[in-house]
Amino acid sequence: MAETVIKFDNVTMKYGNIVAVNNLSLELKKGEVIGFIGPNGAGKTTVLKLISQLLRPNFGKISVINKYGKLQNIIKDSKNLIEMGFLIDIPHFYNTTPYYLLKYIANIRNYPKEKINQRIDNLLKEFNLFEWKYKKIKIFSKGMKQELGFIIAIIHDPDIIILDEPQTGLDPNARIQIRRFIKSLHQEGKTIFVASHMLHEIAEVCDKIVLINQGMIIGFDTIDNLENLIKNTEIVCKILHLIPPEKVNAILQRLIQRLTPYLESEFDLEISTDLIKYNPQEKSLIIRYDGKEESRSQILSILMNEFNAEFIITSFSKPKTSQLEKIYTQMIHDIKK
Amino acid sequence: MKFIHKIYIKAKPVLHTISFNLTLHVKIFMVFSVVVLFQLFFFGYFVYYFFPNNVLPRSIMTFYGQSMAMLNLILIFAASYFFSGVICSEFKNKTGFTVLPLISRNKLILGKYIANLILVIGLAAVHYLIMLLLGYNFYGEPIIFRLITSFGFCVLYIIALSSIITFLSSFMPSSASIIIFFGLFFFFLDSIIYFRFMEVTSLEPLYSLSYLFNIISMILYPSFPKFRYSVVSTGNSSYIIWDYPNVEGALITLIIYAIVFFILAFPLSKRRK
Repeated sequence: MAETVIKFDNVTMKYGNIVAVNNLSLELKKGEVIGFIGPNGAGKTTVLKLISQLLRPNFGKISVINKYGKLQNIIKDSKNLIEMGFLIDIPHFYNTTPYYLLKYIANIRNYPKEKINQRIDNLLKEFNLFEWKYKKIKIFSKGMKQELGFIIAIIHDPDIIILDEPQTGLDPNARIQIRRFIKSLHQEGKTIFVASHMLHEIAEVCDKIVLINQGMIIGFDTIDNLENLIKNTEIVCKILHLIPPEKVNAILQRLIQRLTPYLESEFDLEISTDLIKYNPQEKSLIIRYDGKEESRSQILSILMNEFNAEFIITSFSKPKTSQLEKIYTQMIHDIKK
Repeated sequence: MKFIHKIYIKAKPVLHTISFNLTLHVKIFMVFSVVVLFQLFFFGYFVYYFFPNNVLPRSIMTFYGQSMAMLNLILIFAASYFFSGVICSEFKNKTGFTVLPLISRNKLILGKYIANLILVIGLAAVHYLIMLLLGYNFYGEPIIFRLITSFGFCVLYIIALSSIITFLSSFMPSSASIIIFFGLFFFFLDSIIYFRFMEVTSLEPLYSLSYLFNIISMILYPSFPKFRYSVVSTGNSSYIIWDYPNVEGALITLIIYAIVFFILAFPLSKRRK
């Protein structure tokens, strides 16, 4: 059983009368990558600021593992903690160059002096910022500053890395680069706690997900286990050719009639009004079924045998993107109810 | 040895912060140095060659004393610029999000304070060095020990000034507001209270920074005049105008300012989020 590295015990944080974090209890284990998801104003950044000691909670205890392997209350004593790296909020920098800033950060965190220059060069090359090493940070683009913020979080090779929306403002290639780097850090045994709005991307790298809303945790588990909390789910069925527009309604009606025993028995009209939807742009059918494995195989069999004249199926799958978004949306919706 | 090593490990973040902040401000320091050089060469050299009406002062001490008013002005501006951002800039510019999780707030403030102190004292040192060279050029006299004493008081004055501005930085919202407030306070409020205080009482205005600065030029003279004040008569009443403090009074007041305001800055800064 992996040891706990960060522990929240009934932590509450208020901004005046507004409760940003409400009696939150959470444990992060060593070597895990935990995704932290929630709507705007849910309390994600506040939680990360509490770990980084930028804020002090009104109630509760926050413990972080120290160099001796014991959990230590950081509110009472923040010395001798294990090395941690932070990317909190949108990064802001001094009026200097990446080299001097990274060197300063590495020095104050006691990174070995003889290795600093090499470490800086390697990380800057990794993120295509090497040629900007001696240029002033104020001329950097938003994406470049975000990448530099990520480098600052890991420059001193910390054991625990706290990331707040690390992919904000990055182009698709840079986002892939960040995710690759998170995966490589994971393989090195680092513990990573990442808050993000990019659900499908966070699902790629995370072992577990924490869902937070209005300062409270509403879900904390693997994506598969969270998915099991949702009774019903979707299938995306891609077809080879477009269905002629004049035939669409008739085919959809026939599909509903034939697949009724296997379709979603209750569905939330706010989320979806159609049990089977046709998306001509994607050339796909989205089928809301009852979530049973047997039903899935029956649906596939019926589509291939009885509708082969109408369309040819090229793929038949449950998309991860829509699953996590659905979990997220449904849990927020359940809380509102 | 172990104890020294322990102290060194604890002081390392402060030392690195000092080094980092010196590199951040080196260009501004150069700009201020050029201003110091320019005003010294213009008012202390060119005016005597290109404007024959300006007569060189009889004594080297008077020559040095004349340049002190400009020094005070430069120190006020430099100290306001460098020290106003010691604490508030970390919150206003949000650079605190980057560094405060990695270094304790007290060590960051201490490192920035010492770095900026080195820069402002460096400016004063540039001023004194050029003054020394000009004095030697015009008067051919050797270095006087009292110049070093004057520089010592100047350093103490800078430390007191920087502590007050750092204290302001602990609760005011931005560097600009501190520079404006302190400028207005020093050039108007301090002088107004100084003169009004003396009209009403005969007490020595040791609280006043303008008054305390006068020790820096007066210490250059071989001996202080018998009276440190003059009496002004207006109609039926008369009051005292204090010209300069004595050494002990200036020393104690500047040390108190330096320590008290610096210490007060820390708990106030902790309240900021």
